[in-house]
Amino acid sequence: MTSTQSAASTPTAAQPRMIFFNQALREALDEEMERDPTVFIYGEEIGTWGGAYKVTEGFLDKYGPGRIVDTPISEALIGGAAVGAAITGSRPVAEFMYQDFMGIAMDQIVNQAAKNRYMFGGKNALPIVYRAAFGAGIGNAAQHTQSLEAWFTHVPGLKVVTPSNAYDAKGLLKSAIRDDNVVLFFEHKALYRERGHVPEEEYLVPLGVSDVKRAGVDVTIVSYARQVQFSLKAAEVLAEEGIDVEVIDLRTLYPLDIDPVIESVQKTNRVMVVHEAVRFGGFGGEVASQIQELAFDYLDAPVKRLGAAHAPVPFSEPLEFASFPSVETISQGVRDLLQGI
Amino acid sequence: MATPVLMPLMGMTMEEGIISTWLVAEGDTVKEGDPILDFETDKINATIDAPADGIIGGITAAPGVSVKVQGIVCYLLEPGEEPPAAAAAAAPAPVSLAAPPAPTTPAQSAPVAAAPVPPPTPNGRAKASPLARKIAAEQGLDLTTMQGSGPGGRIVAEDLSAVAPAAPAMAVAATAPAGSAGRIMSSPFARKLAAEAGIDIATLTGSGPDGRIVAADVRAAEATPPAVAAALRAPAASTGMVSSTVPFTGIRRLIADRMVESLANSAQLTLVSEADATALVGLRNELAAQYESTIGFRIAYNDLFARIAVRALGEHPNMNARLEGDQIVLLPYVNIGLAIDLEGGLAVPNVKNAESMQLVELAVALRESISRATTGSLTLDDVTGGTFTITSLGPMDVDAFTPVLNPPECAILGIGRIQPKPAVFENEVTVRQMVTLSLTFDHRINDGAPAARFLQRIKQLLEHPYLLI
Amino acid sequence: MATTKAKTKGSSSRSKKKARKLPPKDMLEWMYRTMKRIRLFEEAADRAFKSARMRGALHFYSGEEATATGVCAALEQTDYITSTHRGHGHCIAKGGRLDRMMAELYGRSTGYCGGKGGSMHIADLDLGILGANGIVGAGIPIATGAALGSKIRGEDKVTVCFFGDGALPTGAFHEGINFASVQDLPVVFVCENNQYGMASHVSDTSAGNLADRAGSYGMPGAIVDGNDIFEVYETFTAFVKRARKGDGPSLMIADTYRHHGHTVNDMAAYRQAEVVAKWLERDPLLRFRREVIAAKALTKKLLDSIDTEVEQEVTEAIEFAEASPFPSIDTIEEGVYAD
Repeated sequence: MTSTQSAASTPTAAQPRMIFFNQALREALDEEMERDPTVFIYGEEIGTWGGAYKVTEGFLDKYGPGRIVDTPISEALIGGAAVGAAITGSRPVAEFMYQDFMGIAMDQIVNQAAKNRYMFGGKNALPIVYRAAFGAGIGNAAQHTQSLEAWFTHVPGLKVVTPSNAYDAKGLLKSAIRDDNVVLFFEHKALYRERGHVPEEEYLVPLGVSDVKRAGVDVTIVSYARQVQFSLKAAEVLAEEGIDVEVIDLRTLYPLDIDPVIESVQKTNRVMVVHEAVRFGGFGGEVASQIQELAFDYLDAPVKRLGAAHAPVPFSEPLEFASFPSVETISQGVRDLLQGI
Repeated sequence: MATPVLMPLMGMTMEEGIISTWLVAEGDTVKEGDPILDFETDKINATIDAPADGIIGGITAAPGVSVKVQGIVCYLLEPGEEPPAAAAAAAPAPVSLAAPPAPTTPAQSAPVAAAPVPPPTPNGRAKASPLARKIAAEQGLDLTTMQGSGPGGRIVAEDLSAVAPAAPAMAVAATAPAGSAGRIMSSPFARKLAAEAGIDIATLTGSGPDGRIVAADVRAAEATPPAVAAALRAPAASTGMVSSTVPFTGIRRLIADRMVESLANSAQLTLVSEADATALVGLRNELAAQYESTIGFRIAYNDLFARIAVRALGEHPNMNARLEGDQIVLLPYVNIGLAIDLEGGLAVPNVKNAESMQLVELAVALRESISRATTGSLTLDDVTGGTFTITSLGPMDVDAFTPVLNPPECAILGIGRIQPKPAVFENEVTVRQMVTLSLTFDHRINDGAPAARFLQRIKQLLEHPYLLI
Repeated sequence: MATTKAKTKGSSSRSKKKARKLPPKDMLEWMYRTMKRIRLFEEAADRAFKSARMRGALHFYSGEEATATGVCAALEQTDYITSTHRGHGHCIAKGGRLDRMMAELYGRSTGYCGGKGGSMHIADLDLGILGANGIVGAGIPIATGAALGSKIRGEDKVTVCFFGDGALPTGAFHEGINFASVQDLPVVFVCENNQYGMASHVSDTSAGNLADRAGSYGMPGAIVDGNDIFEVYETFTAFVKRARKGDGPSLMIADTYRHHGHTVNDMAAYRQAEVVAKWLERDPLLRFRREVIAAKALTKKLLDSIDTEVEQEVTEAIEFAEASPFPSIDTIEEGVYAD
């Protein structure tokens, strides 16, 4: 597939609005709820409270308790009810307040939702979206800060999506809801209050398409979610040193659109994969492995990976920020890469 | 004492609050805990309660205005007190929560990126980059006596120089284990480029880590543009000439750089003088025959010239000097260097403390230097620390020339051919053995007259060698 | 077994009750001091957060002090507790030091967890605090396991599991108490029903009578006024005795209320003002003072002097926390594995 330059990076002549990431998600849900009456939303504190990060604020009043359903603290229920609702004709959007809580629902997601269509001979579709907030940076300590996307990319039957900005967030969530598969939609919690350009008109961003967020010729950075923002800032820092960095936002982890990455490596010959998740066993390993398989002859240096320390996310502020990649470590990583190390 | 009332932090992502409604007015008296202000953030509506008793004063913002977290909204005053000057009284600096603090130790690379380091294989070889190895081989330098400045003590090209500058003396190195033996380390992309360009990657030296050959090295080796290279490769029908290229790298490059550096950084000019070497020739022949059996070789003209120069330098220490910062240092020893022409380059080993040597001893020492130079076993000590150089192009029939100073030396004596020529001797025209001397000196350190006097003394010693006794 | 409901559910019983027998003086002093320590600790943490001197996710126990204190009054130091994200009160009542707790909230190396855990994850095995937990309901199987372990090891220890009404619908709750009952484990389950998860009222998230759950799993259950420390103490003492004897677990549901929102930034608009006001009148510290003074068990002067001492203790805890260093970045990967 070919990549498309994201429209989010350049305001159009119509000056699209700058809105918050969580507001972009809210609009996506609102538009899809209006468009398709089989869509409904449920989860913990999504109704009266409006969602832990206010994504569904106002929805209970607008759509009523029939389609906006507050659940008790019952993750297995949240994971499994989607299966039953979807297989019988609804399009549920289930929210896990924190990705860290999804462990309780793993049987329902992995053994039920992911395998349902396959085990039953491919006859039925399960149009489910499981949404969850993930990631570190606001002092939530070890049990509320993880990046566990790698668990889910490993399960056939699941799609995994994670946007880095408001524009992609809205377009991807709408596409996820319209997709007839089980889509895990992960929202980095530190991005909720980041603003981005979002057009008034309706638009979709397709799943399974990576996006070159910044073109460059010297080094390629491949990333997703919040680390895309850090990588773009690092690219600005490095531009002043005369280093031109290309930043690619994967957006969808499975199915993975690796082609733009390969094209980029053919151009730059040096590539670094950056994610906030723990480095060891992280999704970056899959990307790095595919790069060396498909672009071996173009590599002028080993494929570099940045990820988090091999520890739970520490609470103490200086440790928390030092435990995962930052603009500084990404910039230094690029400099090191140019030295071949 | 005015108590500032601050916009509270109501959540980890809050940056500012917008004033909704003032529940009190300037001059109102409030008690601790009384609500004084409603405000809103993007998430919540909240109320600020008075943190103490006092009189409201110095309201800073009207409804609709936003105040940053920990910004001042108003003050609680004592009777008769005025609020502090606007904006001067800042809230105590909070712990920075929005921006991550600078790490106290630069340990970023430890937790987040760890490229595995291959284990070393010990085999006693000096750890050196392929480029350094190449240079050392060309210059006849012994790497095991050197210490490297590269990663893990690796000797890199920069650590070597054929004609050493006044760098701090390098201690004898402890050898470190080297990397894998025999395999050419090159990146996949470099190999691809090399294959496409028809370059044998084994002929390249790598600039990457551990001497890895990378794309830049292959591109550098592609010296000429393809069109020109093709034209050069095409056989020239009529002239019988063939084209070839010599890489402008390694020792050639080093000599080039040093020559340019020498000429650019000093005020060089050359004095030329012709001398009658007839007596010298006779002396040399006698000495050569006399000592051949004991020292195993025939004493050479260079040995005599060296001895003459050393003697003259002893009398003219201003010509055995170097410029160090803002001082001209007259050195108390003479380390005399002899320029030696080698295949592929030039070496200038010097003999230390030549001022304390008699001729034969000096001849032996010079001979050993030449031997080491031609067998490629010169040490760093051989080629550093020189104070004066002599260079001879006589065998190639050159008379006068303009030798380039060997920094940090301030003079160099060029010696032309010794040849029989008609000359005036004792008032008659006759055949004499004549030699041209070319003295290049650094005018920053010596003026023309002192340099000329030095050259004059050399000529005198050369013409009357008995003066050396 | 039948469910017993304790009497006091409404406010009417307050003014008409006869003076009841109170615990001895030193216990009363300890109870008041402990509740006051909890209250002032939470208020100091609130101020510190709002003035941006400290960060994190804070869930205040203010208003619920009588439950933790009444329970821990009947425990030995060697007994165990598991706590929750709203657990500062449990940890203080079980003997936690204010300075080390505050340092942990501040993320300093002198905190109970070296700054690595934060507010929701305070633990000290020496005090029998098996850890506060950020996952609702997750402490229930853990407490059951602790009780199982102490039974296997033949120890005379009881485990108390604190959790909130939000945990009652979790699978972990049912799996935990079922197993505890089947195995007659020495554990008491204490549910602090402060009426709300975040905005969800307990009547919308848990079906039926809450205490009936105990009977379904074959153990005694009771609903108590969680803001009446003496009622909590009396009921819990009976349950602890049962557990220590080896007769198995019990479930105590303490009706209480949190003064603050779920977290610092929750204005709790989902709670009606009149209801909040009624609960504030039932503030456990105010009720305690009124009762012990009326019964002449403790003097106002003594209570006030305890107030002053605790204020000082809390001030020193803040100073300690603010003066303590952050842990070094080099320690990020330390403590993940045992050597």
